[in-house]
Amino acid sequence: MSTAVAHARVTEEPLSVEALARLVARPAAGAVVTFQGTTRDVDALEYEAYREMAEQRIAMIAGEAIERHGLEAAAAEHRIGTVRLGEASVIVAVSAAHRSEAFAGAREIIDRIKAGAPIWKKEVEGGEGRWAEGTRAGGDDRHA
Amino acid sequence: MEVEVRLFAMLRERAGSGSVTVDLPEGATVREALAAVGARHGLGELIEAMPVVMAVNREYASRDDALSPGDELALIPPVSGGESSFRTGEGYDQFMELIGNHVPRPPGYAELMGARPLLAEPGHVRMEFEASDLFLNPGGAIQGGFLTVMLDETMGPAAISALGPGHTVPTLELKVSFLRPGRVGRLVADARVVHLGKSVVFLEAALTDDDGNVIATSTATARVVRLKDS
Repeated sequence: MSTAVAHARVTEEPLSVEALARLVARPAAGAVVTFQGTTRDVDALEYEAYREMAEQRIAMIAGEAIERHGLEAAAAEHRIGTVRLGEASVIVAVSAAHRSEAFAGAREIIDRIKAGAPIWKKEVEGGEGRWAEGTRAGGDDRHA
Repeated sequence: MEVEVRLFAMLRERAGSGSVTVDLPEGATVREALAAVGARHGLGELIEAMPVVMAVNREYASRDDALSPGDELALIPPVSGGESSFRTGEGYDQFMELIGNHVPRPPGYAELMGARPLLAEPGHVRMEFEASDLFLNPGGAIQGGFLTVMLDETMGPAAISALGPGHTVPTLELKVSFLRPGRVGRLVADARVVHLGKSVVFLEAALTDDDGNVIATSTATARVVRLKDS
């Protein structure tokens, strides 16, 4: 059993990938991989979450990635509310002894958050909002 | 029993509220709760039109799960970031151009297998798969049928990539050699056209694990069928 702790947060505040990278820094970590997903092509995105479940889900996903890839630490945060063009809506940071586990762990976390966390986005263009089409939530439970 | 069901996104907007209360018999299932929510506030049509799931106590629930008084229920519309993992393959654009855009429909099991295209060029396709622990046989190795799917699902596109749009390639014969046990995790299949004839195509493929060990190899023969309406 790993002693590493997974951090998960859903927040209205702007996200900081640097702060998240500091959170996963460990003496035994030779690699830190960070990812940030940003709003593109539209004026803004409006995110809505089933917040309690989303946080629980993200923590579970990060925890499973720690176990599966032997990570030192993993952290992920998702922003809700209005996220303007170029701003980050989701960030992930993981640390591991070597880069291959770190890349694989970060990749798995972001893919699973996007497929399985109850978070919805509305694309806002010229004052008009439209819910983005989606896929069935929790569809990646083959991992669980 | 009266239960409160939380609503989100388009469902919340349609209902004009973040939650609705429904009256259900004791021991009602998730399916019954869904039907009861659908019958209210004009949500039925919207619920039927999309793949909603229900969460009970913050876990995704099956429609046959029974509910208890005091359960926290939520109706989860499709998640907008739920990009198919297939699209995240680094060879996705090449794959769609050569193959994906010319087949009638993508196979539903591509998602189950965690398939991602890594490379596609005429006569050569490389795919990544994610072997889940659900694929393990009682001996703790990936059941050979799943390995065969990975090989076959890479050889088929390799054949299509060599033929061009408007073809389908039903398999006539396929042989697999299982060299090592497959383990849970990432597996990469690399398939090539060996010979392309007028009516048949000969293919070969190898499946390797993350450490570069060859798990299985395969050869196959497929029929070249030209689709009429293309």
